[in-house]
Amino acid sequence: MRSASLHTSDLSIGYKLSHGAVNLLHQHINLQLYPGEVICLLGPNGSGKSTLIRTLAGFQKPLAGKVFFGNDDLSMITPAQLARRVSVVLTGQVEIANTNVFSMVAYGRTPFTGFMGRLQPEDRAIVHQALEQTGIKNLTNRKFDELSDGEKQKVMIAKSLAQQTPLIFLDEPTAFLDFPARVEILKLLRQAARSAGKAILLSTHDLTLAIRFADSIWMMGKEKPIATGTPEDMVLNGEFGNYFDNPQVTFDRFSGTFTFEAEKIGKVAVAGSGLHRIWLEKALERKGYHVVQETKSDCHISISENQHFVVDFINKKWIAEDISEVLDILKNLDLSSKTKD
Amino acid sequence: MTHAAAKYQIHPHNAVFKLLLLSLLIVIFFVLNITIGSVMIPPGEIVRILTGHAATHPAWEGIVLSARLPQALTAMFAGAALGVAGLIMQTLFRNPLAGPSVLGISSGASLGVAVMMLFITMPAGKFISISHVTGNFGVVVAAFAGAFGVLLLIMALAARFRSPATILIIGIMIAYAVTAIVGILQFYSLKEDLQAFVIWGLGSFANVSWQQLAFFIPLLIIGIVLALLMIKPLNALLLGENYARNLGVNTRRISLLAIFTSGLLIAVVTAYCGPIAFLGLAVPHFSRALLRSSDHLLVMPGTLLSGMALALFCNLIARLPGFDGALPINAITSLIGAPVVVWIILRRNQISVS
Amino acid sequence: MTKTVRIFEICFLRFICHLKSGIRNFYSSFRKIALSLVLIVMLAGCGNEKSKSSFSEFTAIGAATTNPVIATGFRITDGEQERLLEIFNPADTLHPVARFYLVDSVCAGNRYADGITLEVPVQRMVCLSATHLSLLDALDKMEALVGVAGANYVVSGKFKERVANGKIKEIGIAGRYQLEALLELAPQIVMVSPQAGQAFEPLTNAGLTVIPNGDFLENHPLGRAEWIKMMGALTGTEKRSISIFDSISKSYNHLKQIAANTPHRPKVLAGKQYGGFWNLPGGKSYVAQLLHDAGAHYLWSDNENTGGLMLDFETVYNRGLGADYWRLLVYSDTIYTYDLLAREDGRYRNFAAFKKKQVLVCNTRTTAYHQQGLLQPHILLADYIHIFHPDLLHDHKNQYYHLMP
Repeated sequence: MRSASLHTSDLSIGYKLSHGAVNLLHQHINLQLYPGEVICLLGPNGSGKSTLIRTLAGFQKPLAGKVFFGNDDLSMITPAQLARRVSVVLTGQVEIANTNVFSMVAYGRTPFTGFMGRLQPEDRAIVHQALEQTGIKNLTNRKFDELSDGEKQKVMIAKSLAQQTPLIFLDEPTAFLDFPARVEILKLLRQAARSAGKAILLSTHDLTLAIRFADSIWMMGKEKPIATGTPEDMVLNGEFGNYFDNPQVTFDRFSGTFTFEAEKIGKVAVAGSGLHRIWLEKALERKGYHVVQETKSDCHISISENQHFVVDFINKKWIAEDISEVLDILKNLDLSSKTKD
Repeated sequence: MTHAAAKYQIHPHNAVFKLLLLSLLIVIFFVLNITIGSVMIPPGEIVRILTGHAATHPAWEGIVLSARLPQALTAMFAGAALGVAGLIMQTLFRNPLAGPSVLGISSGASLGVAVMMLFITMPAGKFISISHVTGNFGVVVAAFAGAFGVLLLIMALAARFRSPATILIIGIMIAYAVTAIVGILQFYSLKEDLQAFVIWGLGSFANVSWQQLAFFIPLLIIGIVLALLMIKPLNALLLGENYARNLGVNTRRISLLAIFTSGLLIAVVTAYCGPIAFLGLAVPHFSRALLRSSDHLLVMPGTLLSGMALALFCNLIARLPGFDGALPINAITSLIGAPVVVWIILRRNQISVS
Repeated sequence: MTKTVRIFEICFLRFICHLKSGIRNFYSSFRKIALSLVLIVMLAGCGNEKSKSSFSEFTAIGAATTNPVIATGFRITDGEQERLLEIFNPADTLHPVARFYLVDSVCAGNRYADGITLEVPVQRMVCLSATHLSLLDALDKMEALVGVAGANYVVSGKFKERVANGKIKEIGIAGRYQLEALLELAPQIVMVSPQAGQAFEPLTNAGLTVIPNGDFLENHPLGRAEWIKMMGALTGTEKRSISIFDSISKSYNHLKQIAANTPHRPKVLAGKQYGGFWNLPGGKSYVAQLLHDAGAHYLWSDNENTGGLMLDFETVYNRGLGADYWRLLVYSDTIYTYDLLAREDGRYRNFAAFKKKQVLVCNTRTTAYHQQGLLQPHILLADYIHIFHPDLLHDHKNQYYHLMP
């Protein structure tokens, strides 16, 4: 059996309030994090994702229970030792002027440098390696505060890599980024986990990417125990639905996405296949049309060979060149009253 | 790629050159402080006096040895101490406008002096004023007591509220409260006591004698050494408290040490020189702008040196011949420091717009 | 973000405060000008207009002139039916800053538009400066006083008795007053020392008559004493005030004559350091005049300043190191000694006057300098002469100034 990089034992997390009161978010948490794994921490806002990461990183004390790094109790580890075992990338931007990217990444060497923090040649080599790994070698001499959000995030990840810790915790590292940048960051992290055997825990709201990249998912809900498992298992056994379902949102197990239940304004039947059909259906559902079998609606849309959309309503026929036109045509039809049951 | 690496290599040498330049400036300003004053003394005479020979005019010996020299030393160390204290506070509170007066430490010192002069001595029917005997020594003790009183309060609160912003706001509130208390005390006091307090409040580098320098300089050196020991953790604190902790810094201990150190520096300077405006706030900015760096390994010595240079420069301007009765030092430091504050605010705005 | 903005704002306010204190420093350097300005500004508000209508019966006040001969801060002109009291800024003796028409009784017929009409003798007056009590005491008119601010160290027995009886109310300390307590006394006049930083508008706004007493701005010791004539005119004791001043003036001039021809004039240094500046009297101040009249050479007699000087240490050191005597005004609850002086600043030991033990000091805490000195310039002068030229004045016993023990 592999030994876990980190495990918790009957951990309770939350905040101590004044007058001795306690705001308990989760209790009896027993989780394991293994080397080489990327774990995505999912959950709605307020479910305690940040609190869990802060507790695991030693920023706040557990209300009860223990966190173990290997066999060592977190509460017995000094700050200096802890800095060599776990590195973090925190949510929120770091604002720092007059500092170049190299110096930012070199912060990762702080636990290893001497009293005045001077870098040795091997420290520099490690910093350069981290810059290379994260693909930001070209930014080495740029000022940190002049970078884009995605570049900044990569710099902070490079800092974590330079820290050379077996564990990396990232609190919403993709929050401010556009889609390609998110993919890039997650690929980077997965690469770090695979090649260096690091255990990586990141919290995110991005379900699609979590399913795509995570080796395992920790799912936090409000007033529910934390569910864990491989993403696909969690889709199949309905855990996603359980944790996120509310009247407005449902989890579609086929697409692996959440769908919004819009009020239905009519039924439409669609014929044809391929990408055009898939995206036409998405558009119709977004607008609130119910896509039904051919016999259940007076309105039929078929896709012609030259990829045009043919709208057939009772005895009339329109040809639309794109989906936008289809939607315009449908808008003028009274579908609700004329539908068959 | 090689070009970029080379560029990085050059950077520290460049900074060392600038630090050397600052040191040269300090020497020049120091010499000018000794040479120039409202009384004209020929340079040859000054050299004679400094080398232990008798001067042509007996008064000149006293002027150089017991007026200009201690005043220049006082200015130099006060400037360095206030700058370093300001730098520590700006880093600790992650606020470019943090400075000795913001934490309420200067105000605490003022309160100590006010309480001593207007409160303790008055009801007892014993009048002590700076103009009078006990003067300087009593003022020093009272300023220490007041500054450390506020400091302990802030340290206690810092242990309770971790957020630097909270502590900063508490510091500002303490400063206001103290100012208010001082105002009330002033209102119910006699003119003679009031005058002594007002004069102390004007600030001056001219009041520290050789005997007092024997305490003043070692105390400040202790504070400055403590500050130099904090260079690495202060650097980590630039990333914020959590990142610093994750880099192995015992943030609680460093925060307390930083508050203690800056408090010590400010209390000593304020006790001996009165509240000196703006130096503590402006010097770290000057140093960062000059060295184009936030790295305390450079900025800390830079602040130390530019604090010395700036204070000597201000002292020089205040004592230029022509003003028979030297200008108040705070007028000069304010004239130089106030534009710095405006510059910070303008620069900040520029960043937030772009 | 808003928090940061708020902090900026707070810091900015503090910065303004610093600026203010910087400005205040300059301000204090030009204290004399400031005082004059305050005098002008304050008195500008006093020029209440009152309509002038027809005359009625009026009793002449008397023929003897009370017009000052040395003082420049006030002028008294006798009219046919009234006496005009004008107050001046010493810097501008052409344009009065306040005019008061003193009449026997105010009635419809004798109100004047270009000044304040005032019924004399004044029965109810408030003095905001304890200094002026000595004038009332000397004129034996203490019963006209109903209120005073800051009377902790007044030595007059009659005053203490009346305070004890509740006939004189304390309405504040050191020039600060409680407006309501003051109004309750319904004084006819309030006499003030118009120093910087004090506002008397609330008094004039409340309809009270404020009379500024600028005695402290006079440059001659006799000029200061002569303000007793103004008090005399207000309290109906002008004859007495004239004779008091004449006798002071006579004594003073007599003493001055004694010292005038002395062959040796000792060099005198004055003042000491306050907060980095050496405060000393200007070359044309009343102190300089006293020193000159006492047969001494004040080292800054070439200076043209009538107020105080603020010089840096080395300037004074350079000129004053060899001075024969050193004159100090201190405020101390114990006897002031060389030891105490040296503890203030060790460099004081280097002065010749210190070495020769020729430092003369007046302790304003243990002498009545502030309370009675105003009317005793001749005694101050005698003190000086007795110290500088002991053989000229054998029998004098010093009252204010003593050589330090």
